[in-house]
Amino acid sequence: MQSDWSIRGRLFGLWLLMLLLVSVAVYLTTSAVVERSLQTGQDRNLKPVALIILDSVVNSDQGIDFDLPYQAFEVLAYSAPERIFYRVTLGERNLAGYDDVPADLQGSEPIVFQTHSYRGESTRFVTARKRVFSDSDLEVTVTVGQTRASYLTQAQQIANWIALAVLIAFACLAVWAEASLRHALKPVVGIAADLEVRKADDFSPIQARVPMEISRLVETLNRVFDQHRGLLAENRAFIAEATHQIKTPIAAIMTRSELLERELPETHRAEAHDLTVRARYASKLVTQLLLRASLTYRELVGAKEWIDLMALLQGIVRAMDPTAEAKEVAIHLHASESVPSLYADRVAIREAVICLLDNAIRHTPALTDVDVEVSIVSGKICIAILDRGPGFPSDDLDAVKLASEDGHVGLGLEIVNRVARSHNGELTISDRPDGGAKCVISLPVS
Amino acid sequence: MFTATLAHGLTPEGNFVVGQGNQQVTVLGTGDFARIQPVLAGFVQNGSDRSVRYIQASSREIDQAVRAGLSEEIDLVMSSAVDLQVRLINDGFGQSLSDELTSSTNWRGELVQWALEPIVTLVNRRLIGEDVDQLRSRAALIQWLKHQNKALTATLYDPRESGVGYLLSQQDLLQDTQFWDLIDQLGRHQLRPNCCSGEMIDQVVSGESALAYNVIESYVTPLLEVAPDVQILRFNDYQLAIPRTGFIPRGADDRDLALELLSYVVSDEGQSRLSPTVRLAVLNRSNAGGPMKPIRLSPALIVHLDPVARDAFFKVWDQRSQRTR
Repeated sequence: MQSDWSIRGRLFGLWLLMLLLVSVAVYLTTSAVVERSLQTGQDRNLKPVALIILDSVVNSDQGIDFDLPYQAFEVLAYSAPERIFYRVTLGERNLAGYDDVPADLQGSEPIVFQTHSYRGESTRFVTARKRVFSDSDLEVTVTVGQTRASYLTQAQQIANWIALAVLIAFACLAVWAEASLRHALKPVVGIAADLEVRKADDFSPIQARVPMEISRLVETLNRVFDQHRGLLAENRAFIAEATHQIKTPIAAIMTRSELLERELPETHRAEAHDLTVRARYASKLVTQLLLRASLTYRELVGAKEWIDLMALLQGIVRAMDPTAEAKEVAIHLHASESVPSLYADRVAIREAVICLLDNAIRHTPALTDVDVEVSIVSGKICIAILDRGPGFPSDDLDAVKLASEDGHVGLGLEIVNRVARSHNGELTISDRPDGGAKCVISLPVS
Repeated sequence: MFTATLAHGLTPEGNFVVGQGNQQVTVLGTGDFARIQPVLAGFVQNGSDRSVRYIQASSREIDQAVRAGLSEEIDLVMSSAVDLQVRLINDGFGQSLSDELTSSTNWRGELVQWALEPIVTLVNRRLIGEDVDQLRSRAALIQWLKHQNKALTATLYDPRESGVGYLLSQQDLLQDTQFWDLIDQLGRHQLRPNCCSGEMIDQVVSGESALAYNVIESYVTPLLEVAPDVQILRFNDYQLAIPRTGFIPRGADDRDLALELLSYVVSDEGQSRLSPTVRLAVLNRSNAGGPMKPIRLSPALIVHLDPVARDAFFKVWDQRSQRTR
């Protein structure tokens, strides 16, 4: 049976999906954390500069004085190759630095960190402020800013490394997932392999230790095996029983009717004869039915073996000789070349040949020959049975079988056909050009 | 007519062209054309169909011109006013060259250092006498001045008039806590600040001043042979050096050629065409007095340009140097 999905594929897909989601989540959160921690680092560099300037503020006659400490800016400059900006205001008045630096202070926090786009670049600003005059609300604000490009680049780089690590972990987990799935499915694969090599008539329960998940499946299988074994045994018993139980009464009828035929007055003799014929036909039919059932059984349990075809045929011919002699018919067995041994069911082949031979002997006129010819034609062993009888009404096997429903051939040809098929071969029938019938069973060599 | 299109209010001190090629790169620079001419000529020779136009202007005017909006014709701005250059980059007037510039000293991949001007002190041996050999450090100079009873005249850049003077004074203050003591001692004698290196050197050569503090060495070198009394002092505590830097303004017409020129100037061949005194390799020279301290290309330099910092500096400067005023 072809299946278009597998447990492994489906589970693996689910695994991959989950791993992918986890990876994306890990990447996003860690890069956010990295950017945030780098931002914290930059803030830590900026804050002291603003505070040092703010701390240097003293009141003076003109308003306030303060320092712009070169060294503090130098430390900031050393921290990253970034542009730096600053601004000092007193109330609304700009005292130093870049007067367009955004220093919007909402709320009342003494120190505010903000990110703005300034002069075309994303820039981090820290603004610190304090009141300087006891009699006024005027505040000094000091804003120090630094562009963020190198921090963002660094964050990106770290994020890339994390992405790489996540990808590697992802790949490892994928391999691991595959391996574990393979491991988990091992018992199932084992059972499948076990069943594959099992003999057809081996219905012993599966013994392998299986995980809980599939133990029910195995139990069911074992139960089916059991039922199957029972059915087969019953089948075999039926065949044996039927052979005995049905054939015996029919044989008795036949004997009695023959006796009657002899002893009845002339007027009733024809009816008795008719009874004999019908009884004989019934006997043959039963024999064939049982043969067919028996062959079906043999086919099921796989009873093939290596056989010496010529020896088999010689045996059959010898066995059939008395029948043939009674009809004054001679059977000749020929082989055009040496015949290799054949892997086949001995009984089935024998019955098929007997069936054809029996037909041939019955239909060929007295004092003619029945030939059994074995040849090898394009890799096939052909067993041809030739007679000098009236031939077939048609070349079509189905038509012939239909026509034989009247009882002349019975189930014979069908059985032969089945035997040929079960050996990957075929049965062909034809009329001989110079009169007579020709039946050929062709079987592939091994 | 031509200059009007370059920038508002820029009055060039000179306008030179090197080579006749059609691919012209235009440089706006502070240095004397004569000093950079060999490098530009080398660049022109190195390629085909190139020429360089060199427009010479003062650093302050260049700074203003860049801020007012340069013409697209200006492909390269080269200046020794490192503080102004850094501030221009900090304010976003440069463009990134970092992908193409590999090893040269630069800031943000935008501002490239292509020469170093060591700073020295110039003395007139005749006026100072044998004591000159004792003056190995600034501390020694201060001590010597303290005990020198004979009045002498000294000169230095006037930080009010000279951007270089202001820059050097601030850098001295960062390096050396004794800077104001030195100014005190110079002021105790006679301090005559000057606007320009030429005047300072002339004064020492003529004997008008015995000593010139913080002079650009490369200006002095040509005089040493013709003025035997003049001697260079390299203090062994530290020696400042001003980097000459260049950047390609945002929106420059011919970025690629300008970058080629800049790369050529920092290359070994370009450097060999500079005066030996100002080559970048001067950092490693063996006759240095003390550790060479080139002014770092740092955005902190913008702080000293702030009027607040200038006011604070001149408040002290005026007090310390006023005695002779």
